[in-house]
Amino acid sequence: MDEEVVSEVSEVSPDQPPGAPPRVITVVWTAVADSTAVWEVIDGLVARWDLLPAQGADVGVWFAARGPCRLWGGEVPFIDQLVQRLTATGVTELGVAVAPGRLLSWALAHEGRRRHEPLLLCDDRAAEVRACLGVAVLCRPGSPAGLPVDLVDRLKRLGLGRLGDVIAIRRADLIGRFGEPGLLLHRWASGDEPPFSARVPPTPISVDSEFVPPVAHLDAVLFAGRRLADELDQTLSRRGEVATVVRIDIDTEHGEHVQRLWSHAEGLRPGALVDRVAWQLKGWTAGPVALLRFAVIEVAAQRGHQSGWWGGEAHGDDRAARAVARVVGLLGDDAAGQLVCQGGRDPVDRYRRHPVSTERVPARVAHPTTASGAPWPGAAPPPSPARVWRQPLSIDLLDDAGGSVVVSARGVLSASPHQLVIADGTRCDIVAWAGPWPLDERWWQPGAHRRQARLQLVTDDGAALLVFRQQQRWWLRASYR
Amino acid sequence: MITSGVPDDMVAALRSRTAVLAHERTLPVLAALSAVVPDATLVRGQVVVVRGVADVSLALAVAAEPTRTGSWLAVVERSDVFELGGDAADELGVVLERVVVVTLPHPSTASRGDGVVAEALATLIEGFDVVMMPVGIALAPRAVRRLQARLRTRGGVLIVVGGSGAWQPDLVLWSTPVGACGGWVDVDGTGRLVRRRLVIEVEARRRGGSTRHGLWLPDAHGGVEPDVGTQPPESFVSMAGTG
Repeated sequence: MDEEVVSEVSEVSPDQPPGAPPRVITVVWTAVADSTAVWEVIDGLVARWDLLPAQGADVGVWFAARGPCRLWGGEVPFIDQLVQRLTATGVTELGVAVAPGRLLSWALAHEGRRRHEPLLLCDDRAAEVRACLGVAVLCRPGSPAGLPVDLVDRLKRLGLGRLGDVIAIRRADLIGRFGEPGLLLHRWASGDEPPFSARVPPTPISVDSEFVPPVAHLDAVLFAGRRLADELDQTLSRRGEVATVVRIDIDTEHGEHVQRLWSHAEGLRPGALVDRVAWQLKGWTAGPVALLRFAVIEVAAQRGHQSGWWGGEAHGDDRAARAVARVVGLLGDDAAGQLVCQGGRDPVDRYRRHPVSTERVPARVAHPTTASGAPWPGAAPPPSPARVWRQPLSIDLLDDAGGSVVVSARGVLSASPHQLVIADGTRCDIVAWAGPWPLDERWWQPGAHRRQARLQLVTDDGAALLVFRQQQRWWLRASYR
Repeated sequence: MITSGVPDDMVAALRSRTAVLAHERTLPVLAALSAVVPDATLVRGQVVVVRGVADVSLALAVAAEPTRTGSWLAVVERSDVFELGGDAADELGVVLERVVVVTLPHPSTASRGDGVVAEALATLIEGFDVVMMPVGIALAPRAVRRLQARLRTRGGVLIVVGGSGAWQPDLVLWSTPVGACGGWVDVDGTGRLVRRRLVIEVEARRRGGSTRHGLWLPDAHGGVEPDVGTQPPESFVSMAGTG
């Protein structure tokens, strides 16, 4: 039976208060060849909903179904049936869409949920609608495409805002520009979707450990948790799978019952699970623990897992990754990032912070000068400034008569800059300067056109600075500190 | 709790000392810095303070070689003003794949107080071989002492940029420009900033006294190079400007 079911659950971050998270569960279900099996599949999913915590009204469920509609006399009766069955199980906010392909179904189901009505899209209009979707649908949390955010950012920077813009480019050119992701990009954008990878395990998998008497000490619970996690990992490894969504249940002696859902795209290994038990215990429970359970909600095929020296992956990588996961737990998802070079002429534009809220720190940072395979024309040659202002600081440059230095339309300075005045009134003398270098960017895009003249300065206290003039004002951009 | 019958303090001592080989207690530095950094190695558990006109560049140069040999570098930033220049780090030899930039919450918005910041720093100190942070992070002196103790027993190398603050530095590197124009020398005639001649004053706590070493930082390729003193200090050519 060629039935494929995939569920996607957004990551629940440890700093969300218990009970509050508006959790998003997307269940995409397609290609059920035997139409009579439809309700079996749905009932199977419903039966397993009890594995998911806190069903209340804050749980959204999106279904996208295709194929079996024929049996029910068309899509509309089928959707009616579906809505009836799901409402009967207590789901309050429902988005239903029938559309060709997972990406389109997913996007429309969201829209359907917003409008409180099921959406139906026939095949002959699919290409048109797909072309209108923004490229962001490829990388949003829970998107079936699941493409990296930086790839989508690069598309936007290239002015390719919609899927239609992407498929206007030849597949070979996309592959040439982006490599393997370029192929995926074209497949998703054109409706030629790759097969599923993650899925709900066919039989429920869970392991638990009861503590008699209940255990109060954190370390002891974690010790037991480690054993339990290893056991789970072995079970899954034998099947060549890894858990991508796990629910951790903790019961305390006082009858407190704390459930949290944890997900990770690359799979939750035993170390990661134990960390999450620790966070859950520290964050939401009080009192001795009576029961610890791991329930696997979603699995994915295990990818290659290369062991480093001394068994396990490079020890330092693990240590760093755990530290990052903890820091993100403390300071928030955006707190930790890696610098990803994306090309550009401005020192601030050239790098993007790629958030690393994941278990393994990704090693996919492109080499700065080769992000596009070649040095970026117009970027300043090395040496580059080591310190960059997040927001350029408003300054003024004065000539020796005390007047503002200006740059002519031909890129010539009106006078030698003599003094630097920062907005707070600080003044310092300029002992050396070089430039100006004109920068004329994105002249082909009316809203983004930018004209600058850049200047390097050395002040009397030895500081070397990069400043620029734009819109008739001087700005401080970076320091060669 | 699992009891092993071994006194706690002995367990701690075993963890931190005995099982660690001498070479695992040190991290390498770039060949160009072998004269500047005593014994050409960074010792785990130490606080290195970098100061002067090139403090950020110097910190990156010190952290570069460990990232090339598999160590991870955490760069701690405050949320308000500056961020790290990725190109400069790359040019100085830092492997960006093994760099994580951590932004601390703005002091005025940190409702949970600096306890969270101290805990985040402690986590980084334990997890990363090299941690680089600006001196201006608001930490109580008591928190600094606790972090430094943790660094000594569990951690890698902490590089404090811009001054000592409440830290007890094991090594201070103070960069001063040579000559006028902040030490910048133009060698290709285009007038732009090409390379910078510095003197690094090195104070190692255990050795007493200080030594001075010439350094090109950055050199003509944005990297770092010892200044062997053969070239006379050139002047910044384009004072008249090119405009």
